[in-house]
Amino acid sequence: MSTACLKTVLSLTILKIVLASIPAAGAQNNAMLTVLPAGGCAEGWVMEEKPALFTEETLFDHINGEAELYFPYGFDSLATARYVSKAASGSEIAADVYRMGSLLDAFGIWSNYRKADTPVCSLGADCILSSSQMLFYQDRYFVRLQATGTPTPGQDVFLACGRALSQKLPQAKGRPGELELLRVRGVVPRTERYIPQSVLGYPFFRRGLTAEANLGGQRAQVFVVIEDSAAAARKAFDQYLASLKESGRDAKLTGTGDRISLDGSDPLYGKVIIEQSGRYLIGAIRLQDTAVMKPVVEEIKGRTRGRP
Amino acid sequence: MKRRDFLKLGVLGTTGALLGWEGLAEAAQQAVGGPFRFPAPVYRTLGRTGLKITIVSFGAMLTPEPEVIRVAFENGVNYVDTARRYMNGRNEEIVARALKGMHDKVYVATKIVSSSRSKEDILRDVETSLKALERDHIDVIQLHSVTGRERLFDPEMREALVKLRQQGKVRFFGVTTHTNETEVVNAIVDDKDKFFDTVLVKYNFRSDDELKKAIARAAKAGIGVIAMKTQAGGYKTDALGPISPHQAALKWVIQDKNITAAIPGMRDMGHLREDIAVMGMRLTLADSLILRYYGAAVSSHYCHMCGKCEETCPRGVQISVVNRSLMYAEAYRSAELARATYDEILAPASASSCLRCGRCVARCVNGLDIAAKMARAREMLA
Repeated sequence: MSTACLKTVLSLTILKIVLASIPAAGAQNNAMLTVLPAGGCAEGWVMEEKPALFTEETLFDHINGEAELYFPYGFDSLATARYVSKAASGSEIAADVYRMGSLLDAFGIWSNYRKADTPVCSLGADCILSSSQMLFYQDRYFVRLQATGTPTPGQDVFLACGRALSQKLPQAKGRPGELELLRVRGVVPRTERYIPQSVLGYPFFRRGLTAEANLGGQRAQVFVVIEDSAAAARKAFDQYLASLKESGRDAKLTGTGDRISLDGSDPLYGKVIIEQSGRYLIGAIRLQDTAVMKPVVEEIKGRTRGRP
Repeated sequence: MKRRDFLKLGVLGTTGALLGWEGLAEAAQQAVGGPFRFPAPVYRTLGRTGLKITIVSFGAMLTPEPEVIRVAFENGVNYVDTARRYMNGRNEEIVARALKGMHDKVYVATKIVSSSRSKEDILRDVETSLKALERDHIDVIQLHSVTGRERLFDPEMREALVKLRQQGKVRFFGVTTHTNETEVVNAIVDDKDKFFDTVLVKYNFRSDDELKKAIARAAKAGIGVIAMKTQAGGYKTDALGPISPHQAALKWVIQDKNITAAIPGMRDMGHLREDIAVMGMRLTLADSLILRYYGAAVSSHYCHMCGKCEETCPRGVQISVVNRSLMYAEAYRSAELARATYDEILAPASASSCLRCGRCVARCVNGLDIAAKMARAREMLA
């Protein structure tokens, strides 16, 4: 067979493979793309060009290096479209709908963009709204509406677009059950975050929640490491203890089994307290006075009881 | 993967056999054994900026705790890269907290929002970054994610950046690129105005020769080249057993003297120690072998989710979704996500349907052992 003939056969084979893969990929794409209102997202706002879909392998092309932030939250796919104002030329909204691993993951990625003082809105499970963007999550979806042109659309447009998108998503609008753990006295509302890897920057604390705490005028950070079992939580506890010892730090232990607790000094965060409760490790860092935050930790610990 | 399987694959060829598994493992584990000591920092000059920065610098994008970044600064790392967009600006605030009291010891690079094209938008972005970073200047301000020549020569953008430099708010101009990067790097080199001082480019052991040549041209022209995405996607694999490929991948990048520094994203103390330890290390034969094996392991284990195999399965099993569930369980180590994904498959299309088949006839164009994957999924998730 000549080289030219071989090239032709090879090209045709590749083309066949590519064409054959289109129906499978197409079915997935269609399902995700339907969450974007095709006609328009608000009165006088129409979709410009076709919506696009990005996967784990192509997300970088849309949001650059920020993509890496999304992967630990189980990023699955992103449907995106651009809506333009028929009345105000140049005014645009980029609508991004991310399908994440779970409701908790959707909350987690959303919480990365929230500050305690960011104005809220009533949409999905929780929502923030500024003059140039709206972000909410609903079910396992994280939605980001961003003004990209000028003039910037009013907040009524964001709200209308957000509502149109919300209606296209699964209607379960509850917050993750895990957040109930942090609904205790002293925890600053709207500071909760879900960290899917390396809580406090320690790889052995695999995933968990953090929040700011303020009690008696003292500020601290509370955390809940979530493990799969009491044994796994104890292992993480022991690894933390070993890391303290390696750093030459003090740690006072009390209790036994899966009811162990630690009062010590962390090389990164200073005073630290941690208690185990079944598959959870509850603690506080950046403490001034350990005793002040103990009740907060105890109260969170109380909330873990009865949870699987 | 067991040693027997590892050798059976023969990926390492004769050189691997000469070195042997133990030698390879030992070489790769050098930095892990014993108490960790931060190495003495190693510096290179960032092209014509004249800044002397650590060859392993800090990509802050993934780091939620400022204390982790702070540890790097306290141990000599003196260049940190963030972006206006990351976490809606919260990432710049995290960097600011890490920088407290150390502003004069660390160079800061950040990026204008990709969609900001007008002069007003660029000026606004930089002002916002300065406020978030709690600094009076930014050392390197970068155009975020440039994918072609055109944007590099936009006169309005250049006017805005020049104005910012005249005001003393930024010192040097840079570009970041991880799509069509060879064209972008070459365009910066060919720019007769020599407008940009640095380029942050996707570069790793899988990069092609054309990019390597472009980087060499850039370095020769006095442009400071910083590498990102040094882990080639950072796919996790258990195939290397106890050996982490990350140090080898990082060493591969910084052994190229045309690269001033790499900025691996460091989420936690584990990443920090692993990455920072590379300073002062050389790329060894063992590293090259690890990278060869890692590249091969990832490409053969990683399901591309193309769905092609599903056409060859008589039971209509959603093989790509099952494989994705497995990836979540094994690579991401998220049992919850794996379970949620697997549970979405209707029973007839799940891996359990395979039990009604005598022999798996489904075939993967990339050579994945589908039958083994389905069996594993049943074991873990069914």
